[in-house]
Amino acid sequence: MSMQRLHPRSASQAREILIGVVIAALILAALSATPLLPWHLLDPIRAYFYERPLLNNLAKAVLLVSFMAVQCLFLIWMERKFAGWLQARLGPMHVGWKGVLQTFADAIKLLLKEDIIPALADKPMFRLAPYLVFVPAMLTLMVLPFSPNLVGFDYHLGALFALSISTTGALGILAAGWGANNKYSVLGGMRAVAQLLSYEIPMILIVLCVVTLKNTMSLTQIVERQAGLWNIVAHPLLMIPGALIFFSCALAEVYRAPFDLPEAESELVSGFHTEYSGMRFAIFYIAEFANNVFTAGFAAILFFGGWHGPVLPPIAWFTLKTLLLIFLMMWVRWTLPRLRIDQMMSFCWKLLVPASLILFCLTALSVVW
Amino acid sequence: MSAILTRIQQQFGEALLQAQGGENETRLTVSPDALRPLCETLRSDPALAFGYIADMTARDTGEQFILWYRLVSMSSLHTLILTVALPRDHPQVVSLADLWPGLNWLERECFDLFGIRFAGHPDQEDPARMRILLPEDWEGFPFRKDYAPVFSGNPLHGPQETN
Amino acid sequence: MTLTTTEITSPGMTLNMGPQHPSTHGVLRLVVELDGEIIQSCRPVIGYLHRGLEKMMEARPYRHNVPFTDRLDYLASLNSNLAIAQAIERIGNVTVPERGQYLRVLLCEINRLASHLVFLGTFATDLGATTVFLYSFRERERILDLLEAMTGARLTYNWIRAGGVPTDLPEGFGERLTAFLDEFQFALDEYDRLLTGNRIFRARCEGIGVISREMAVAYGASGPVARGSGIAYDIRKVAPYDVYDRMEFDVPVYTEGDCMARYRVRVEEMRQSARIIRQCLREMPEGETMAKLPKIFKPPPGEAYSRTESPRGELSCYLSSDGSMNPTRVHFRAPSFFHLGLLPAMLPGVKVADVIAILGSLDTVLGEVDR
Repeated sequence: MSMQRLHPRSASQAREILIGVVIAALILAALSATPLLPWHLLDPIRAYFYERPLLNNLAKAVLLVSFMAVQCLFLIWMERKFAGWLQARLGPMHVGWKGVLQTFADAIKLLLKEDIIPALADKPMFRLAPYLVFVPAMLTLMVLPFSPNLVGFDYHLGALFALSISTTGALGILAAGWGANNKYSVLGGMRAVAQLLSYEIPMILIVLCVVTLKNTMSLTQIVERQAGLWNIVAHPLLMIPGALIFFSCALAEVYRAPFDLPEAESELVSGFHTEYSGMRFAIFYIAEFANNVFTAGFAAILFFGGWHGPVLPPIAWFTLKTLLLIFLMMWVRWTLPRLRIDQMMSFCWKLLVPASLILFCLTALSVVW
Repeated sequence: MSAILTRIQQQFGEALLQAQGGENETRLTVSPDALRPLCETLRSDPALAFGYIADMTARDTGEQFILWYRLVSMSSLHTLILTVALPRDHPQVVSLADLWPGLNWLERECFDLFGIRFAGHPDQEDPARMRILLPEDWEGFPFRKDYAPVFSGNPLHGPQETN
Repeated sequence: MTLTTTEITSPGMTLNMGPQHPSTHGVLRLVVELDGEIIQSCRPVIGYLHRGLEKMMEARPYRHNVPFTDRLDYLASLNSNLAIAQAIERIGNVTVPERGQYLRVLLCEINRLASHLVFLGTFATDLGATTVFLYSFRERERILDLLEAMTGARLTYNWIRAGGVPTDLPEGFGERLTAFLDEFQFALDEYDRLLTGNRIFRARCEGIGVISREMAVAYGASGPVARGSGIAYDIRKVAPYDVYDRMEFDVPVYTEGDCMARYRVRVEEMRQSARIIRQCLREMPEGETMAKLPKIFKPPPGEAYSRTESPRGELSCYLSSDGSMNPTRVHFRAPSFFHLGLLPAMLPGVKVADVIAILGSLDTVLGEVDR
């Protein structure tokens, strides 16, 4: 009863929701019709690229980065809208329809902003740090299979590659924290590294569970072997707790509340990127969202069958699952308070690590028998 | 006359320059020398137990500084107002911050605004640490009635007019 | 050759929290010595907002000083108005008409609600739960609308003056207020559940920043801070002013002394304030709202002080008069001043994140600390 009072649904809001549903249905219908499109017309272009592997890879890289940038713009808008909805306000409303172009405006603002480097900063490190964060975030996306044939680099050790590359991002964050010559940033950077290294362990163990079950490290193979049943349905006893642990770790890996300690705004004044402004800040931001997309996509691949799903084309299914998981992360973020550093560490070492170890042993046993 | 005033007068009869007792409130005026022993008793005597420092301030009458303490006993909720007159040329009194830690900042404030020195205050050695509301390098004590602002040369102190 | 072991120690880090920091609630500066993330020592530096209000008041007639008090505790300026108004009335022997007294209680309690709502929102934000902030500010907005209808201002009301309250309630105020309170009850329960039921919130608050009973007394803590440490010290009960002696309300007391206890005291106080407001609306008699004061107000020489319970604690005003038009000394006992004095004793040993939680739970307003 009281919820109704807090979020009174007026007639106009009902209409908005209806419009949204209709638009979503139209998009889905259009997507499901994509296999019927005359794709064969593109065949000469494909052939041209296949003959030139270097150009092919370059094109893939450009596509990936621009896809990420666009998706980042969309995700930021989505996050702000969602936060607004949760907090009983409107969110961005002025630039474009319902504020869709707000992030474009912000991006332009960030591009045009004066680039400030603190006088006493370690300048090379300060300049380098955003890219040290950005590049691993993009590299991890490389092995992520968006659909059976849309994958940057179908590496047979994809899971290992993704995990090891994503960890190196911590180096950039530490560099940012140290290079800025700001005490809050140093604290943030140190927190980030401690957090990333700790949460990496349960995360790797859970990934190992999936790898053991599916007997492959290739992400495409992991998805393909879930063709009939998603992992979470096929092995509910192992994979439901596994997915929960993975999700907690993922939140910590991408520094989202309740684990957003490295950039805790109320304590560390945004932590490692306190001193960053303009485009360097934007690069951190994009990298953060790329990490979000990667972890959510990774989770979709490991537990929710990747691109598998009825009716819709594979890419749509994968994007849908990823977006839903990102949505879940946002939901958690805007609801929960932040943990303290020691509480977060003990949560990892005293709960997640033993639990994931046990889960891994159980998985191994279930494979043997 | 209240029981509390009677009890204080038994012990400090001659030190009290002025005493007035009511049902909820007792007003005492003491000499600066008697302040410390009186306060120790006020704090520790279980029948008095004025453990709560409610307020403390000073004022400048032009001839002397008046220190004004307000204590509350948490057991009887009785209020005790203690007044101490200090000479204007050498305002110094014993610090009571060890009896009531809450007085620490109040004494700093009184030093800051009136220049009253509190012997035994933890920060008393260093005037810069004693300053609390005003900038550390402020000159003069602005709440004295004869204070005339002098521009210290530090632009952070604001554009003050010189006399 | 003998091997000696030397303990490797690294010098700690001195961190200046503030004066520009999102969670110091104004311009407070905490110089903290850190060992890793653990606080070794802390020295609060205040005075960044010192405007010399007390000195300015010495140069103005008594009644002209009321607007200054709006700038003391700017989250509850009506309560600050009350402190000086009461002191002026005591020094000049003025009696406030009964309706004026009721109106004062009413306004002060409404302002207390607004102030505690700010606490609720900012405290949750300090701990990372940004959403509660928006919710509590939405409720506060409605309170500000009501106060605007009454006083014409939204933050610095200047509406409790020496002698009473200048005007009566506007048309339909009681109905609007009752309607708000009816909804506010449910809203408050909901926000309380949202936070109190949250395990992370409790882990961040329970057992953090414990102020023992003895410490609270020795440092002069008052208000919700004292009541969170088990001291049933509420000026509205121990030295009732205006018509508080006729009001039925409870003083919530928790004995834990941690951030959670202080949070709970404030949430419970909001419920009690709603009770008082309802009683005021019900029982308020008709009549004058303001006593007549002479045009040239010259109180007899002497001194007077008032004791009021502001949302932050015991706010009292000390006035001394030499028989002229202006006071010779005005002094405010700001509760936040005492609470900040607790920090050097409380902080050593806690983590950086706890500093924010503790500071938030003390709910200080730097306007009244620095004056």
